[in-house]
Amino acid sequence: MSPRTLLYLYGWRLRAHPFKELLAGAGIAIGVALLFAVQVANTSVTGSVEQLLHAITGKAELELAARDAQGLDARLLQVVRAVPGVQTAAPTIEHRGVVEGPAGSEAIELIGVDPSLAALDGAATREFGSGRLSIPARSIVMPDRLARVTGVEPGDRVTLNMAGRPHRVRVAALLDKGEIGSLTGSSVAIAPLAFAQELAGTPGRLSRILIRAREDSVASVRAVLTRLMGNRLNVGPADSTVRRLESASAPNDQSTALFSAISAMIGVLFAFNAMLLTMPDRRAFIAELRMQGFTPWRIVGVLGFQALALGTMASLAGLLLGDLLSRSVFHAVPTYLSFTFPIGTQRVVPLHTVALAFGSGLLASLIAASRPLADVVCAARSTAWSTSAASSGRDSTPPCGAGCCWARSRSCSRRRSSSGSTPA
Amino acid sequence: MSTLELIDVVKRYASGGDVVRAADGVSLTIVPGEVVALYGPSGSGKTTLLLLAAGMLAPDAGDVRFDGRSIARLSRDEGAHYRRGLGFVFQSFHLMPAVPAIDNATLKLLADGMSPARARKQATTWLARLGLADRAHHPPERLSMGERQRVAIARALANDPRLILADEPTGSLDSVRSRETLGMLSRLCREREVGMLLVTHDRDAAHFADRVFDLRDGRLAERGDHGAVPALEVPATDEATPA
Repeated sequence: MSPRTLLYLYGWRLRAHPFKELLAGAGIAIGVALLFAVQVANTSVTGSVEQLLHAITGKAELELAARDAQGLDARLLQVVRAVPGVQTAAPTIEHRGVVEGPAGSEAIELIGVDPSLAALDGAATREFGSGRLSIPARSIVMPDRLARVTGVEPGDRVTLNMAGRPHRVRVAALLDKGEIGSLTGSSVAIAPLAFAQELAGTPGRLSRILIRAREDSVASVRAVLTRLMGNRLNVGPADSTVRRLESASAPNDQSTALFSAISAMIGVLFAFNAMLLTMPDRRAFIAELRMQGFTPWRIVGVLGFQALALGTMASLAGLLLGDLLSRSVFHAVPTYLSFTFPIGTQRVVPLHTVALAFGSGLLASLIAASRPLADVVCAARSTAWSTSAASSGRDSTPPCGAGCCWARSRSCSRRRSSSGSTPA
Repeated sequence: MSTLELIDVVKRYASGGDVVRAADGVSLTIVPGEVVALYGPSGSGKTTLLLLAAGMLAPDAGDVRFDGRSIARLSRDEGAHYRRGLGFVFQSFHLMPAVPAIDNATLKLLADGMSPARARKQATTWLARLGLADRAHHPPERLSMGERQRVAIARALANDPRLILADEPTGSLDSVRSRETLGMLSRLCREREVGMLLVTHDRDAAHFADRVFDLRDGRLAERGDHGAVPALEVPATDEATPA
């Protein structure tokens, strides 16, 4: 059957039962919206941190990290660089603080970098290495979103509260999307390493040394570093912070997963109940199609297309609604996480989250449509019920029972052959 | 020859602890152009016979043949193909609400695989023949009962069926419209050499049938005094004679 004919027949359904179709679509859309909004909100928490850290660590595979806020001795950088197999070792200092401007204040992560960090090719720092961007001494740069929030222009001075003391620092430049990509949504400020150490009150100390090893040397470099410093410093993958965040946010993730599952169930239940309202006329329509000579597979095609069309439209509406919800209702970040991790404000919407929500909507629609479809499969040759349903214009339960499903289709056929309703 | 044959057909139903014999050794032949009326009280097995003829029910014993081929042995797809060659007319019309008459009349053609555009064109011709040219874009809710039945007839005839099965086609119509509809159906059947099995309670129907049968407790008996030639005055309709 051609798509044009399928669309034509779906047009009939929309004309004949617009309210029921709208109700079914609304049920699916609500479920998809809840699922999508919760997933996006949750993904954004870890996703924003992952984006920020990856933008700094770039191609680094390993890190040597301090175990406390005092950091590690900057002189260890030379030791690390001397380890065989180390291609690049870049020092960073990261310290939490609050930036205050004329329009407002926001908690930030101050990142101190030096030119060697650019060799790691991270999105946040590669432009500094290329020479296109440089940070003047005793200045910071920040994303333009943060500048808008705090009301800062390039060249202005802002107050940076760090290590219990306020500092007046100059904002040298604002970074836009072309320079730092999606990090424009992150609450970060970048400063030269020495200046950041001074602001943090930890001169000569580092938070981490990011290490890029030569090919096939990652394991050996890690083994050497662990042997040399493993007793006082953390030696691990460069994304250790993300893994720690995942551990810390596990309870939050579990509740989110539960809520997502409940949302999905609500969506399916909404859709299923709404579709139940359409059962009598769908059954009558099926009976009519059979009577007029449509083959069972053509009927399955017609009903399947109608379910897919409804599911597609409702899921798209659900994604839009979910997007709104994730911006307005589900955007709060757990406080205990934001104190510890540089959680940004950007929304991270992975493709798999969109696919999951959209697929769930389609699935709900197909599951809800499966009951009359099961009737088609179950119907075999006997349609006494269908004729009476069609002629009376009301629902008529087939002899094998409305719960007849694909798996029961054989037993249904057997029961039909031995008994039945009396149509005449 | 598009001949329908019911040969010693038996169909039983279980009802509570009893067995109801809806068809009990029924034999009947309908040749092209012949109109056969079937009378009987409710529960006598009239609709069962219609469903057996449509291939929607399989007989417990005996055989139902069309063009010499047993339709009880058709596969699902073959059964669907067989039904595409039948025209159905029902008491309650079976029209989709809110869908214009012209679209309702295309359903049979869509089952044949025709595109919606071509089907609408062909349906328009049939609606015009049945005097509904100016009502083609009206949904059933805005048509009179007689007009709705004419839309249903247009749908049934649109793909040139080889047999018409009519289940109480005048049950929702007043006597004038009933005669008009029966006259139209019987005339079309004879002109187009299409057989018709007419299940009815309508006493007037006998006047439009070539043969009349009574069905009681699943058994068939032919009446001898039905009046094969219409004796009633049939109101004129504005339909043209179909080509």
